Amino acid sequence: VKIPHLAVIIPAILLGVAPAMAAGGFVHGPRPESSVFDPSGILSAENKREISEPLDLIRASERIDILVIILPTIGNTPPQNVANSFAEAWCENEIHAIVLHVPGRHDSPWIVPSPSFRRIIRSGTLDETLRQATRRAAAEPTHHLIARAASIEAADALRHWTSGAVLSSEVRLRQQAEARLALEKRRRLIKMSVISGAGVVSFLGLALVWIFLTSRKRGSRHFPGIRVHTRLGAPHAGGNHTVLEFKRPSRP
Amino acid sequence: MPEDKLFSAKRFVTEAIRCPSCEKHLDRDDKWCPRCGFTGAATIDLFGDKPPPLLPILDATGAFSENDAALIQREIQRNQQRFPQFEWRVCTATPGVDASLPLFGFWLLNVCPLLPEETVEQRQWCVLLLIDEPAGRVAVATGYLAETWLPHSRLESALAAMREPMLASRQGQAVADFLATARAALEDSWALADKTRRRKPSRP
Repeated sequence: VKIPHLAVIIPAILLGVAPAMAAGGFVHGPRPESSVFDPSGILSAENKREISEPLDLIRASERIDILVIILPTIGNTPPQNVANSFAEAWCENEIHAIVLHVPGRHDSPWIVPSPSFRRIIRSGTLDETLRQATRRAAAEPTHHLIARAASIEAADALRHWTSGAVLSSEVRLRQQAEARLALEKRRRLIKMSVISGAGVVSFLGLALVWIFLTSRKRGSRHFPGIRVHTRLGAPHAGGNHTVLEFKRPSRP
Repeated sequence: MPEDKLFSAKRFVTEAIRCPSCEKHLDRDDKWCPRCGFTGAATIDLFGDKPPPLLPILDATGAFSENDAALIQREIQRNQQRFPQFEWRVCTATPGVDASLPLFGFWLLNVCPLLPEETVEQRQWCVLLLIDEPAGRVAVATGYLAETWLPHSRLESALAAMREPMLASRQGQAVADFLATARAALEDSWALADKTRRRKPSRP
């Protein structure tokens, strides 16, 4: 990879930008209008505009903020820290990523998404996606193309994750709602079953009691046995009687 | 189901038995009436010794129409379904103006030969309703086993139910009313008997 504008990088180092960043004392100042921050002028203005325009468009329309930082060196400061410091200073959107390219480093570029993605996307998937994206970008022949490819990879990844995350959260919410509904329905069903079951059992119990009482009432009845004492010398009946006269005799 | 255990009738009923001849109160095991000396043999002199068979409906005077007979038969069946121990007999007769209807009933119950397959016990469970329509009299005579559950007071109410239909010359309905009222009286007797049977006999 050809490193352009060495004349700019060296003064920047000499000015102490990198040591200051490594010490955490870099003053970011206001965010530049462009989505490409290239204080050393590694990229041409044309190249910067070419990278910045689509990123600005995405930022405006989809609220996905991709910021490309191109620095000649970051010293011993971990690239994640450098990217995070720029993100904290300049990125207002929750959905953002920093594309950091340090031309002098063989492991450049880096794509550092906002921490919220770590909560949504599995760590292994995220890291693997970023690793492949940066590998593809690093394969480009020029710094301009590397930065451009990395920014496109970052934008694609964030778009994908954002829609996926929203979808998966929606799906998860829908699933939770459906599960809640199913549970509620099941509870209602159990409640109704218990109530109707109790009703049926009560009805059957009452019906059984009614049948028992009715059968007892309608069944034949036997009187207890009585010890017979014959009287008046009669074998079957002892003369017990009752008479009723309902009119005067009409016969002469 | 009938029980094997035999109870004394006095445990269930306190009403006295009356002599069919002179109406004096009798003890349950008197061999003759202490007042008039009546015994069953006297009825043989009155009514002879060749009685007709005591059929369920013995309509000697032809008082019942076919419908009446069917109505009476239905009521008898209902009574027998409810109280299978009881036997019901209905008899129309004109024993004579001076003849006693109770004595006639007494004679029929004791002298009439048992029907085929009829047992002595069944005869003792008999309730015989006698109707002398021309004389305007009805009477009930009961066997030894039936008299405990249908004492005089209950039979009076059953006979009273006959008055109105008899005056309207609806003999069949009168008998049906008697049978239905007697059935209701037996319900009361059964409830009382059931209660008394469960209670321990009181010590004298």
